Amino acid sequence: MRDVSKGLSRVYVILVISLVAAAASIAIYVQTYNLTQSTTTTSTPIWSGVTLSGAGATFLAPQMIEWSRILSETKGLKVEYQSVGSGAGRDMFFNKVVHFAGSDPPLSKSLYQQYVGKVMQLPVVVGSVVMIYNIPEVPSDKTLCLSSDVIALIYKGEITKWDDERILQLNPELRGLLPSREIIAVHRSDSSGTTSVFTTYLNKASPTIWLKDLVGLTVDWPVDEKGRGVGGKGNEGVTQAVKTTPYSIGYVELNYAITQGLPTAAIKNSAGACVKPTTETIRAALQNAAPSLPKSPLDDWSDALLQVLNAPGEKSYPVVSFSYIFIYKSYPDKAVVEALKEFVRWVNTEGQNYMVPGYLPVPEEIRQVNLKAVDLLTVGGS
Amino acid sequence: MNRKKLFASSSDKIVFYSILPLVVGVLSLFILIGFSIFSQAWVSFERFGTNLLVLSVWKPSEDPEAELYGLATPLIGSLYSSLLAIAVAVPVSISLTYLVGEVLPSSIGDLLRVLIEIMGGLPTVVYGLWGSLVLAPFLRDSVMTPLHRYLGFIQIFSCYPLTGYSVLTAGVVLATASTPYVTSLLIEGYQMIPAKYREGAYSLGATKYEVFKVLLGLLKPYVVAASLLGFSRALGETTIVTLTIGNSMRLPLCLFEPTMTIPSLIASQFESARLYTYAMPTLFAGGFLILLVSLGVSYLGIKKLYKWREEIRA
Repeated sequence: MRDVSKGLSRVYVILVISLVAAAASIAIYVQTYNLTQSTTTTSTPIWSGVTLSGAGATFLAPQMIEWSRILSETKGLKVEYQSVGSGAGRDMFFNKVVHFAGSDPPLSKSLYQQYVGKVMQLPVVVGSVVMIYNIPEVPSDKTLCLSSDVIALIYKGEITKWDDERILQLNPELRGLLPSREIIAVHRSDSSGTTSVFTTYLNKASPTIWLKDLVGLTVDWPVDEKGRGVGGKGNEGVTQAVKTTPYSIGYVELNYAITQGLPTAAIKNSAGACVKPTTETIRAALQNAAPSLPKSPLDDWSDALLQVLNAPGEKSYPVVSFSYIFIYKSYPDKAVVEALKEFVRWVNTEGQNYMVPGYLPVPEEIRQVNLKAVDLLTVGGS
Repeated sequence: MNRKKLFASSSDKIVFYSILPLVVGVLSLFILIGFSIFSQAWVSFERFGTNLLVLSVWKPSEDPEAELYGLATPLIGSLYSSLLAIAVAVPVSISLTYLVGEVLPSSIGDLLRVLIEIMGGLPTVVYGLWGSLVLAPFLRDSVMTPLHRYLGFIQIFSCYPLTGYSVLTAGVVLATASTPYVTSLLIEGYQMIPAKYREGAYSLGATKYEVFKVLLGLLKPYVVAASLLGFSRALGETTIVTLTIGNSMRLPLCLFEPTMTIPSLIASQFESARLYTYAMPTLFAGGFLILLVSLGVSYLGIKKLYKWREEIRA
């Protein structure tokens, strides 16, 4: 008796499992059938079946992934982006391994000369470098203000204490709060576009203090020699170092400061006002800088960073930068050209409404410049 | 004599010839890797020559004429942090061997061995994250700061610890990560010692500790071999070191200072190395140098290991 019921219950279990499995497979089938139906019933664009491939800057990656997700869901356009770093991305692009590259720095003057008329540079995302700090004595409702001179002197190791007169002058209401403790300056230890933007800013705003040879993706930090500077790997490394080290200061991309909830310093802009990094102040900087920027994707963008850094205007946040995508002017495959046109058009119109937190859309003037690329793209040998 | 006929049966022959390509493949792959690293690095050796070994600079530039690289700091940093790791890991491993081999009842000893093996299998990024998030601040506050305050007159304690990312931290985390490997080797060697020695010692009325001391004397060449192998492993460790050493291009005269190693230099600079003419060849040159050192040390270690095994069996 017991054996029979045991056998029966086993049969039931098997039956139930197979029923569930069958139901699941039918559901999946119907789902995919509907999906293929819905994509095929809308008119088939010439680029269906094309997968655009790109590679480059890690900073661009989160935004690219978000864009590519939405593009494939709404338009069926597939875009793949490999986050390999600006340098490697360019390499793959120039060797025609990928269709487009993502890069934090634009092409240098000499590279631009080499590819003039062949490569288009489109700034698609706005980034911003912010100063984060860890001073336990400063309450969270008060904001530290720094000038480029002060930041440069801190990273040169010449301003050593938080109660230095030059810092107090910028922060009259923090007088008495800022302690007489040594400042520890945290910087990136790996080569990084963030360092490049930060040091270019210091050189532009304080050229006599921060000299040209201290500008680049990797820098020989003077403050390290004084024993008060330390490196962190990546934005996360710098954030971590500042978080765990009292009386330290560091620079990171805005999106990191936002997601990590660290206090960011206001920076004195070219009009003499202390400005916090917010969507409004960064947008203001770009709008004020826009008239002096190149007017075509085929132009030389190598000086664009200098134009947007320390931009004029009462409300402009001074440390702002672009991240670019590079595309060729012509590709041999018509489907690829059409796909790229669609990609560039979408990214510079609807796409700018889908920004990941900490990433800012480019201003209208720049979008219009980028959209010229849609008409410039042609089929042909490159 | 019986080598005259290579294969006793046809099935032996089939197995031999089907395995042969794999063996040849692995060997030639190894040689190819070495060769391709060297050929990529050659440009840099040619351009910078001995400066590569003497200077401590990382100065990339868009203008190839202005580029200048020197790997002295990362090379010394590699050796320094790995030595430190072995200096910490070997005594700990010997103590663990004593516990497992002599003191603990075999059931608990086996459990400990399994735990050690599992520790050895953990992904290194786990050690790296623990090192950078937990250990670095802890070492700074409760080890480095007091040492600096009271023994600051000694050169290696003379610098003020900033974030905790330093040679010392990297060395300690590396030691934690390589202890399982060294311990496994030592326990294996310890158990290989013929029973007659232990029995002899016990029959003379030796205590557990005295027995261990006698056996450790026998094990000495094996300990050296295990240290060499552990050293060579620590030399190539990337994730742990990159996350904990601070990555600064400076010779560390003091234990609390950040520095860098060849693997951490490669990890930090690889992304943008292709923007410059000589940066990538120089990274390859660093990789090649570390490969040479690691090969040499491993060879010595393995040779010593085999020699000892033969002697102890005899």
